[in-house]
Amino acid sequence: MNAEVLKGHLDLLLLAAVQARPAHGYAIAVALRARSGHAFDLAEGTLYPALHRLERGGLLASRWAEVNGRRRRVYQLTRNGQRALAREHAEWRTFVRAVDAVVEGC
Amino acid sequence: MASRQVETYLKQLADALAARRAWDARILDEARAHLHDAIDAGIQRGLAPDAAEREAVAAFGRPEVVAARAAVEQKHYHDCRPHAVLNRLLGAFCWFTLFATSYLSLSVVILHPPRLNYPAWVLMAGFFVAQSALTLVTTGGSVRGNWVRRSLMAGGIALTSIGAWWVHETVSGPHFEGYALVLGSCVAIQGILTLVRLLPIGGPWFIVQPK
Repeated sequence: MNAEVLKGHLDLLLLAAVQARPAHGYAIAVALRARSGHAFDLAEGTLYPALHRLERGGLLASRWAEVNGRRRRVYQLTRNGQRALAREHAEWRTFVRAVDAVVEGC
Repeated sequence: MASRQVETYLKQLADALAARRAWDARILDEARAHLHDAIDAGIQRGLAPDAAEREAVAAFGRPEVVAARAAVEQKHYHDCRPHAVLNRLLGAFCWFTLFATSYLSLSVVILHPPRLNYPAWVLMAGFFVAQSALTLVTTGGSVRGNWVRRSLMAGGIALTSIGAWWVHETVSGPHFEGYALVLGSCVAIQGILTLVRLLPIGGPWFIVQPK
């Protein structure tokens, strides 16, 4: 999938990737790739500026932690992030239903 | 683990970030950790170390692409700075209102001024405290929602009206009261800032995806 298409939904994907448990950047990239069935063609390095923005916006919190003997920046959802995820997910479902209805009606 | 390819890539990334005026030590630290994780994963899948390094660097993205994204996100952040400044200013006025209201309430309890309308003061002080506290928790991100927005908007209008009326009465009345002028001005400004902060539709309380 084209990176430009992804950009509009990146926040939702990143928030969803840390929904179940806190994760560091590489684990988030792996989760996005695996859960999407390798559909997302996104430069992994571009995730970090977006993660930092979400953190500045109060939707994610992060801390340095030792993971498998290495120092990693681990991200987790804040309460605002959980609300934003629920809101964006609901909007996404509405959008998908609407597009499906139009396309399948043709 | 030192990797020549990783170090070369990180140097290129640092240069690209600097060229875009988006240099960020944290991105470089996280990039290093990310690349080492990716190399380990590649080796575990049976790749030779060199091939694993190449794959990890390629998947991370060209330095110019990562730097361009960082520049866009940082520009967006700086574009949002007025909101952050407004938040801090509003927060400062809220804290001052809380402090001044507490101080004056304590003075009222201790001094028992004879001309004071006590029920009116209790109502007003309670309103100032509630509005300021709600504003602080909202700008801090702990509370959100339309009911909060509507409550704060109504409170902002009330604060502006009370403050302006208070200042007007003090300046034009026969008895000049310094505390009324100071607290009245403060709550009027707090009310105006609250309205300014809330008026842009869909903006200030929300995170906007940069284009």
